[in-house]
Amino acid sequence: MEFFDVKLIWGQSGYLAVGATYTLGLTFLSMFIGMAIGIIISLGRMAKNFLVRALASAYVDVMRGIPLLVLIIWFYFGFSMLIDYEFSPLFAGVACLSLKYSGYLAETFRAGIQAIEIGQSEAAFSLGFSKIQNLRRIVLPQALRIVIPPIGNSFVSMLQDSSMVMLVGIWELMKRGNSVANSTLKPFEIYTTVGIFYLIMTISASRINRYLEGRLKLIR
Amino acid sequence: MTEQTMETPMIRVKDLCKSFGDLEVLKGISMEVKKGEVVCIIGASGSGKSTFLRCLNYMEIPDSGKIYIDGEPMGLRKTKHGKWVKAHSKDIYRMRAEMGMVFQLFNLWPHKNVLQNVTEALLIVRKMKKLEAIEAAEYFLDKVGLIDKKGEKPAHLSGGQQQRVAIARALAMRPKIMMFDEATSALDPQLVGEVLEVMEELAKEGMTMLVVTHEMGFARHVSDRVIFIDEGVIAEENTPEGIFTNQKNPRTKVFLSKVLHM
Repeated sequence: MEFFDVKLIWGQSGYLAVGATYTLGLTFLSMFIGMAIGIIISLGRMAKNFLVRALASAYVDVMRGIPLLVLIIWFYFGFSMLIDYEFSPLFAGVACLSLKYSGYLAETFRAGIQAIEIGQSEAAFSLGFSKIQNLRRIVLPQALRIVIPPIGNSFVSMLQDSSMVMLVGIWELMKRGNSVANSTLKPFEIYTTVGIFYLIMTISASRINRYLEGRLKLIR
Repeated sequence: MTEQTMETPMIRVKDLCKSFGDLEVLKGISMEVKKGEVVCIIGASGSGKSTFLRCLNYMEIPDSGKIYIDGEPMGLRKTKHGKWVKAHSKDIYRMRAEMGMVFQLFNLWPHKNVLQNVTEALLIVRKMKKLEAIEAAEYFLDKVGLIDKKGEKPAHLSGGQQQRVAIARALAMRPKIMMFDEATSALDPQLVGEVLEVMEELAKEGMTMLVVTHEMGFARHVSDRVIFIDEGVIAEENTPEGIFTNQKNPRTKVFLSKVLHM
């Protein structure tokens, strides 16, 4: 037996590459939804109303405190049984990833929004902006630029964590690697390749993030 | 125009009170500003003059008292039964848009260039068409002498230039009143003059102005009336000549002797 079967990897890399695109797609979609939820929760964390603040804060605690693996299993196998509804694997995967990350992202956005000096908003209000107009036109555009680095970090983490949704049966990179490894009985070669695929994606994502950070830097 | 509307003061304030926790900042301020009048408010730091200004456009919500802007109550409305209740937000927004405010720290938006800083409110609040907004913004940037900087980001301008952009931003809304909250206090001494010049020009054009300032020269030579606020009350209201040469209240004299190093 060869020590490292290059031919096998060559033969399977196309199949795995398709999985990698699923991984990317899954991550982008979950990140987008997680950010949307995160912004709403971050606003809740800063709300005047005590109840809204408490609820948002509890949400953050819960989402940050449950391991992703537990959340996925609970959601797909437990919760679906409780409400007697079978989620599609894609829905379950995206839901768990976005919910889990929205907790972190909410705190990221809160930090970003609070980094904008109050004077920025006061100027907007003095000109007749409504609260929503101020948020949309003045606060968020600046806050989003400030949080590009931590959002990039979250994206890189999520890329890796998305491997856990193989459990619900989405044919992303890890699931495909797992299946090929089992059928070829060459786990070393296959999982090495899978790892390299993840590395290529995470390192590229970090580089792109760094580029965007420099490009969109807020000059204050 | 009926005689009564001609007499309606641009700003009328009655018994305005405001506390922050236990700290009573404004203890019943009443005053009026007529249309086209330039009124300077002087007083020590912490005397409540900035808070007073910020109450007028409801950036701070007064605890009690009434504010009328061009005859319209600010922040409050009367119900059918004659009770005063909090006004609708959109009415507060609408009235704020009529009252320009210039801040000590300029508060330009760093993510927008000079022109966008001026057009933003025209587009968002006034719902102007883009070209119309740009035309208006360019007119006012030209007026403050900064038309050649319209593509720059605020961070690339000097403090004096930033403040002139902030003035253009407020003016472009064509407000009825311009309020200046220590507009020159954060500037290097050599940059104060260019901002005061713009303000003086505005005063000459007949803009109604309420100016919180430490610039005693401006108060003396440009304003029609000077109000001295001390410990949350109006200690003296007088003509500029009167305030500076013939004080009615000994406290005014004490304050002025400190700031003018007399």
